[in-house]
Amino acid sequence: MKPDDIEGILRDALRTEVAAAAHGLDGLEERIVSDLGDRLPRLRFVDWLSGLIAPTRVGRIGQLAVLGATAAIFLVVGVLINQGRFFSPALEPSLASRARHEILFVVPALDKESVAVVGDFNAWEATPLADDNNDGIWTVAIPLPPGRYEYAFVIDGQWWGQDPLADEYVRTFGQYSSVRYVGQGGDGV
Amino acid sequence: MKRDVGRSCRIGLFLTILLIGTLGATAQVPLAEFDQALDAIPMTSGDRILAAIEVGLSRPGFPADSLLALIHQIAPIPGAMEEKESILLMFARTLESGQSIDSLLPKGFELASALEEGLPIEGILLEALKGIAQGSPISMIAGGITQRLILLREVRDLLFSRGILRAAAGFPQTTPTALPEERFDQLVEQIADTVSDYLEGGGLPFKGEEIYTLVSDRLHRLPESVVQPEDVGLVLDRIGPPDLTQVALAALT
Repeated sequence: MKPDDIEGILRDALRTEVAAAAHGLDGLEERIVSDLGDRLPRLRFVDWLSGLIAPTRVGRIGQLAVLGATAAIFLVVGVLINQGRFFSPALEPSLASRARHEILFVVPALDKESVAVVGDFNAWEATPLADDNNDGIWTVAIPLPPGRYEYAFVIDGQWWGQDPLADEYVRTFGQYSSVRYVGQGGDGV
Repeated sequence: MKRDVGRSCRIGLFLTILLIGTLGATAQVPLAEFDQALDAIPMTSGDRILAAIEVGLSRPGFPADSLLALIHQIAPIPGAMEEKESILLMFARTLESGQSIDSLLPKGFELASALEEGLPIEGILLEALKGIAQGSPISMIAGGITQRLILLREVRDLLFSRGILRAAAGFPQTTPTALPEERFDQLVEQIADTVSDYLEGGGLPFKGEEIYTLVSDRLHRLPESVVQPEDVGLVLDRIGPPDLTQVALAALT
């Protein structure tokens, strides 16, 4: 047997051995990192905190000043928010109207010039309805707080107080008016 | 000669009456006085009310003195800003519609007195505004105001007689049936309004059961933010159909 042949046999044997053990190398890097992590000393919160403190006295005073100023700013902002200074007056009504229900008034009125709704909610003064697509269906949505509301439609100047969508009707001064309950006891829509 | 003297006397008398009439008309309350009086009442429609009064002043026989006296009576009443404004709006809209306020003026004073008394008159004012919007005769609207004021007082007295009391704001609730004034007022207003609607719709006062059912239905349908369920239970336990018949009869007599 020639020396060259022995070298080839050894090389093949080694290759076979390495190939057989190759599956053991899977995830080796992760295992090593994990192992190292377990052995490293854990950095505790107190240690982390003390690490933040400046090493010199002057530095620590500076840090305290920054901390105090930040706290003061938060305090002032909190007080202003509490007083409502950060809300513009224009926003206030929308905040106040959260409890309101958007009530839809609908009237079928073909070939009419004007349709309006009058009621307790507008002190019986006309709020116009719109028919943007000219299909004869006039609508308006009015936000109302919970309660009982009497109303009627005024179609081309004529009183029309019997809305089919009403919860009930009342007759006063010889004419009918519709009634809707908004909130509990009636959906008002 | 005698005839000439008589004729001269008659002409003189006519001219005197004309002069007095003219002086009377020009000596009417100036608009500035109304402006000043209205300034004492904080409201959003002050300009509109003043404009309507200006229209009224241009009409013969406009009761300017009485209207000014009413404004002076309303102004110092504590609180009730919306009600005060609504009373004056009622007159403004009547004038805008071209009608006379003569028959409405006494009702204005009655409403002012009711306001001083602490009665919840918001519903009555809305009814009056509704009547004006409908174009109903002012005399009919005035009659409706009288009837509704009677009903308010009757219902309030009925509740008092059944031990349901009105606890003034800021005072401690001494008994469970002494309701805070807002809650008490809501009960009074809703019951009186139901009876009034029933009567105006042609209902008979003797049908107490029917009125009681209507009152019960109304109170149960109202949301909790308007009338609290425990108040509804309390009032329906303590009043009955005969009581409501008495209340309705009082309004009609």
